[in-house]
Amino acid sequence: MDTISSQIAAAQSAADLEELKIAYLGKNGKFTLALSALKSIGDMQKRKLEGQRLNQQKQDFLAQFEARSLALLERSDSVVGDSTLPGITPEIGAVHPITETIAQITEIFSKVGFYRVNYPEIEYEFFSFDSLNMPASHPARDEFESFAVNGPKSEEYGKMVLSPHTSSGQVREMWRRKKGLPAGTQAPVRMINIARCFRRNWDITHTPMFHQFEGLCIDQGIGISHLKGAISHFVKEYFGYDVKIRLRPYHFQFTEPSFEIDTTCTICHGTQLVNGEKCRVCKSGWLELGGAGMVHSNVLKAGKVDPQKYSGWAFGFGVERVYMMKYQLNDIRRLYSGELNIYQTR
Amino acid sequence: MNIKILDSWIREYLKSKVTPLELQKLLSLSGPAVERITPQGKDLIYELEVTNNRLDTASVYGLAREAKTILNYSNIPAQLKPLTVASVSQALPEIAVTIVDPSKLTQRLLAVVLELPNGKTPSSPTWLKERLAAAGVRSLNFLIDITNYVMLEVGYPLHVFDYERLNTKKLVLRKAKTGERLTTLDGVEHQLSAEDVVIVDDQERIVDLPGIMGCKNSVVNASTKKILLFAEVNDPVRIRRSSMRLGIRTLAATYNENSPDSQLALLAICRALALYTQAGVKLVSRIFDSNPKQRTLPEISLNLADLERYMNLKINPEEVIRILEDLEIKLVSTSQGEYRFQIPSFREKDIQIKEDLIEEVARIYGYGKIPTILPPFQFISDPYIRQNEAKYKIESRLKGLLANLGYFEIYNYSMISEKQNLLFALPKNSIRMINPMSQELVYFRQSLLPSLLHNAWQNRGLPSLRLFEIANVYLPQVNSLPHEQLTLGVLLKGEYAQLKGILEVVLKSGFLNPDFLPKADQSIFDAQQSAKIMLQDSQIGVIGKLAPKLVYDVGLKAEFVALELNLEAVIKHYQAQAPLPELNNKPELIEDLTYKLSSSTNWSELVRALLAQFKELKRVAYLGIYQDYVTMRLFSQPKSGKSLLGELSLYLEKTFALQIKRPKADSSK
Repeated sequence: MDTISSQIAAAQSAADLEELKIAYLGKNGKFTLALSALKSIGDMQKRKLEGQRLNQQKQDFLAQFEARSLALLERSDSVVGDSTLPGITPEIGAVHPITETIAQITEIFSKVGFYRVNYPEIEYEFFSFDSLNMPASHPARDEFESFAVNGPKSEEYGKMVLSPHTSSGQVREMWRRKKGLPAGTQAPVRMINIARCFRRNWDITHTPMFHQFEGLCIDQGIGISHLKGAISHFVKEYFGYDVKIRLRPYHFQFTEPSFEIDTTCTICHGTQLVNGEKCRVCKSGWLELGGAGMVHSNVLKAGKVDPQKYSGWAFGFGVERVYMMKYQLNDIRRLYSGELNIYQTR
Repeated sequence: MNIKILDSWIREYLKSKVTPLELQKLLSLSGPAVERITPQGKDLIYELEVTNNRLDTASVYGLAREAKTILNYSNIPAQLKPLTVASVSQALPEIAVTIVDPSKLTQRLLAVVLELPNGKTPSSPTWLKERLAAAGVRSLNFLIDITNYVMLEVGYPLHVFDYERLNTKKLVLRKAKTGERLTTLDGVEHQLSAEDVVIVDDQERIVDLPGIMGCKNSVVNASTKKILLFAEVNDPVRIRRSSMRLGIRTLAATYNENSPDSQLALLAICRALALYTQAGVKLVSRIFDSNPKQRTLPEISLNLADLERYMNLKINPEEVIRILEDLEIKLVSTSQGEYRFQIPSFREKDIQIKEDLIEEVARIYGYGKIPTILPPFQFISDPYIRQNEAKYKIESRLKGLLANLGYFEIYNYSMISEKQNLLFALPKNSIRMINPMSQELVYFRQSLLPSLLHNAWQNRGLPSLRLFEIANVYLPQVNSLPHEQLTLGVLLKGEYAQLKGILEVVLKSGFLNPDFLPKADQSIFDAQQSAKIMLQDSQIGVIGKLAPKLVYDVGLKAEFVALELNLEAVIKHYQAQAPLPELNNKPELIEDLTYKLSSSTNWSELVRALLAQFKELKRVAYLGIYQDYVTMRLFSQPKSGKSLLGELSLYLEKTFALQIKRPKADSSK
């Protein structure tokens, strides 16, 4: 028994203990063999006594064994260490900022009943221009600086162009929601259209391809208030609860009245001051968000919606634009550079 | 358009104590945006952005008129002071030049002749030079300076000819002939097309490009003694086209292409006459006017119910009328809630429908005072919306999964270069840009891989590269828009099996059971290490090691594997969730089988055949490959409880001529 005690006391690791356990309790362990050898003792009284003795020894062994296990577990490691050293990390990647921004926009609008769609990026000029109150001769059409492509022309809808804005989906959505309804009626529209757009601009704030999100709301009794409500909801959810909006008069062919929407500067919160110095981000406490307006009656007519009965609003903002406003990115081209230096986790 | 105007000049017409900053704020909220105020000596320059429907505010007088209404409504007293104009005595003779427009290329032509004092051109006074300089207009000569000054003040471009250099009895407006040439007053020669309009003299000599720029042969100079002051009401579309085509983007062209009010043409002439005569220049003719009759002004009705619907508030009729009348939009009649207004000529091009009147009331009333209300809630759902929702969800799930597996998402342009298109042997029918901005962005992608391999080159300094992109590819179709197919592309610097594992995890996340056929049959891939990805018997993508030649051609030297997957097909079958696997308490027999690789068959085919042949075989897993030997683990539940190994081995040997490695008889027992 003393041997057992000293052997247990000498064990320096869980592995040493495991070895002892096998040596005593294993298939060919000392206790196992001794206990099975009891059968050979003919004298019942002697066999009983010997059995009790062995069992007692085994219990002692187990008790000492458990005690030693605990002692070994509790023994502090004597090696000098640094628990703040970086861990072993798995290699992870990342989704692109535009993906994350689109996800947020989609969710923010879905809370107030807006559903997401997407419409062709290579589109007929009818949907990109004519249906939006911009007939072929209209000078407003040149201003879009749009790209032409070599695809086949449609008898009905004219040439193929690269959609310069998500507004190209407006009339398509009106038609879609009207399908199968009696003349003069229109199913309500609460659309968020997110897609790639293309324009001939390439500098620090423009890339020839970018993303827009277009809101379109059509129903009975829709007014400017509802446009303010929806955009205000968006800026509060996306930028923060203290962010306010304002509308300024503007001009677009496909809305009347038209507005330019500003938000209070997301950096100085409209105070024009950052740590006592003049805010470098905004001009006057306000930042330009994008264009909006009440859907022009000619666009409603192109969408086969009766402007006497229904009204609606639309806005078209840049996905990259809102991301850049929120995270102080000055050069949009970085988002399309293809370089992994845009990722923190790289 | 953007214009710059001095504060002192505006205040010549706007009588108000408003401070420049207040003026900036109030104008920006209800009218044209004042983008910047910069000091200029003791004065200030306002920089305005005027939208092209509000050309009437792109002038000093027009801006003062607009500001007056906005200030008054904000309780800041303001008055508009009138312009000083000259009156022309009927005693003067008629103009001696016949001016004709036989093809009706203009709406109206105005001309008048003046004589310089003592045959000398007065010099431009300092105030004139300063105001022009602040507006960004160079002072050239008093006679020209006045035309520019009036253009900025009244908002209508004028032209001044040297009467004696013209030396003609007749001026004719006509379309130019293709190939005709003229030299504009800046000395640049231009070749004209049949769409341009010119003025010629009685010798058919071109003397003007009306509405855009004058000609060198008739421009005033130091020896000018007599002038012909000229204005025309042009076709705005023609002006824009000509000025763009010829590359002559003058301020005059900018005004003329935005339909300036035709009534202003006469006002501008009379204002210029006042300024010329103040400097001693003498009027020597009456004003020639080809179209003196006053047009009838348009009228538009406004229903107050429409106004209330747009503004979501009640506004009393007196206030509506007060706002509109202050904007010179006059009430002409009222009946049953319908108010009929007459539109002044300077707003005619802009105000054409009732919504335009609503805008006028709302902007002056103040957009800030309109309540902010969420649109009435409508629960909208239809199969199309559901289908879209599912698509976006799966797309976002796959992006998240790939990111968590170590891959970085890239957004590339939808267009690639002709070189990339050729290098990747993409179909030649790709949609192509007719007016590209760069030769790098010409062909619409039918594959995402050229862009991803380019990204690998861009990031070639990094030790590891794991990239993906999800975007549309554009597949041309006969007589319709291209099919925009959502596609996943993945690129890895590494080995084939690593990427194949990623692909399997991606598909497994949606409970999909893909199958693989060896060889992608695309020249961009290595023939051996590539496969077609199959789902329910159709091909949904390819995966493979990129051909070393291709990798070398883009300037890279490592080993790359890539895959491309039609996500539309994936989304169709993808399940976000599936029922739990059935509980099965029957004992499972697990056995391993090792065979020698064979060039006449492949793993996918073997597994397919085994599962079809042996119903008691439930599942086959891949354990690994050692030298040429592949080990598969077989999970079965044979009724007999006896091993299937013998039967399976025989089958594989017989059907596929496979060499099966049988365990050696255990010699130790």
